[in-house]
Parts: sequence; C-alpha cells; structure tokens
Amino acid sequence: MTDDQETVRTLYKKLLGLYPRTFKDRLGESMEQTFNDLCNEKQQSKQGLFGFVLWTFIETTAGIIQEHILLITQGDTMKSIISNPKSAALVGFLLALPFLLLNTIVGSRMEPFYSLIRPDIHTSPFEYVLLAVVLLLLPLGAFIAARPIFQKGADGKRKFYLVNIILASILVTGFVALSVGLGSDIYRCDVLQIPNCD
Amino acid sequence: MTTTTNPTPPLTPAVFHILLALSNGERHGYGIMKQVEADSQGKVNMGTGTLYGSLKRMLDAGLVKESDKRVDPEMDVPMGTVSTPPSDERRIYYQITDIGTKALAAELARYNRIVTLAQERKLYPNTFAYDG
Repeated sequence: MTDDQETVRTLYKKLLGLYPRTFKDRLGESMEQTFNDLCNEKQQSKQGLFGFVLWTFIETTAGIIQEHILLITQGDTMKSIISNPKSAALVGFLLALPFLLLNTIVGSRMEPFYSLIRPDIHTSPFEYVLLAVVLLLLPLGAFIAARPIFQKGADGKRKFYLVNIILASILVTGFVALSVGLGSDIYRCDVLQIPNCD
Repeated sequence: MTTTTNPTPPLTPAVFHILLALSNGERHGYGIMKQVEADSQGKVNMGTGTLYGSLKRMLDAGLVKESDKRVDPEMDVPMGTVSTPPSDERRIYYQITDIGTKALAAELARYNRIVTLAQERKLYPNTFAYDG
C-alpha cells in the first residue's frame, strides 16, 4: 500500500468518526471495509485515486449531515444535542463545512460544481444567495457551539467548555471578517463597478 | 371498479436496488455495490454514504439483517501478490429478510402494473427507445 492510500484511509476513518455514535457503532466498521475494498479496486485497475476519493468524501459528508439532521428531527434530540458540549461543538463545526466546501470549489475551480455555481465569468445571483446562506450558517454554528456554556448545570452553576468557546470564537470572528471583506468587495466591484477592483 | 390497498409504501431507488442485489444471496457492502452496478448495467453508481445510510434505515425497518462476519474467499485469498498480500479480513454480510422479500415483490408488482399500463397506452417500448 502506498503512503497516499494509507493517508486517504486514515482520513476516511476520521471522517467516519463524525457520524452519530449509534450509526458509527453499527456500520462504521463495514463502511471502512467497503472503502478499503474500493481503494484496492482502484489500485488494481491502475485508476487514479483523486476523483474517486473526492467524490467519496463529499458523498460521505452529505451522508453524515443527513444522519445528523435525521437525529435532530427525531423527537427531542435537538435539545439533548445543544445541551451536550461535545455534540454541540460537532454541530457547530459541521455548520461551518458548507462554507469551506463552497470556498474550495470556487477557489480551486472544482468541476463540475464550479460551472454549476458560476456558469459564466461573473458571480451569478445563485452564487450570492448560496454565499449568504453558507455565511449565515457560521453564526448559527457559533450559537449552537456556545449554547452549553450559557446553560446552568444541576448545581445552578455555568461550566467552562474550552473547545466550545474556541470554536464559537473562530466562527464568529470568521463570520465578521468574511462579511466585512466580502461585503466591501461586492460593494466596490458589483455595486460601484470600479474597474479592476479585484 | 375495485381498488386494492397496498400495505407497503413505494421504495426509494437506493433501497430497491439494495434489496434486488440481496435477493439472490448474502453480500457484504462492497459486494452490494458491485451487484447494484451490474444489475443496472453501470447506470447506478452508489456511494458508501448512500449505501450505508439506506442500509441503516433498512436494518431499522427489518428489511435486511446482518449475518455473521466471515472471510470472502473470492476477494481476500486470491489477491495475494507482492503489492497486495493475502488477508483474512472478516466481513459483515447483509441478508434480505422475509419483510424485505415481500417489500421487493410488492415494488416489482408496482413496476409491472406501470409497464402494463404503458403498454396498454402504447407508450412502451416505442416512447423510450433510447437505443433506437
């Protein structure tokens, strides 16, 4: 096995760790085996790994989000997620992923997604809406991640969760910085239409 | 006109293909993927997220069940080369249950009724002659 394959398998195992615990305990091992089988197949057929790995990681991430949404929509789970510091931090982190994904697609012009988001050379209205939605997920993620800090425990005292505080701070800072930066760019380039404003 | 009520709701395409792949024997995850690909003549390419998301719901609904872990002799033993040493990895197999078999039969009957209707209206096969 090459170093690349070893790295990819390790990363995939870590990605599977983001599934809800019940899902991971029941199907995680089988998923990992299947991914390894697919990697072996690509290796034996001398096909490139990059496209397969990218597609599998995106598809699995979509599956992870779907499983968490299902968990949230089933009964009183939302309440228990946002009161548990670990799951609140995880949900906060997951809500930042769409922005990172959009940024990666646009930054590296990843096809076919790039053409769908930006069919011609100018930023499309769809892209603006998408950007606004994924940006707004950042403060929502910060709120969910920070929620356990503001809740009083059984002893009537608030607890200090360092990871949640750091994550919420990063998400809020990122949201403010990105909103100001992108907002001023959009205002100069698209509203004022200043030439060569990029 | 008589109407009959069907107790089983329509299956999603992923669930239908998984049940079809398991209809002639137990398979592990990779085996299901390959069987789905073969059954659909390469038109359905299911990713691991979709496959296991569907399997989780199918396990919960009792359409499939896990069977004992065991080595797949076709996959693991003959692969012994310098680059891929032989492994005896024990795999989790999935098998269709009685409920799953009934749900698959109901779905196939539903498809059959649609095809019959399309033939009666002379829509099929001429309308969808992709190869023509």
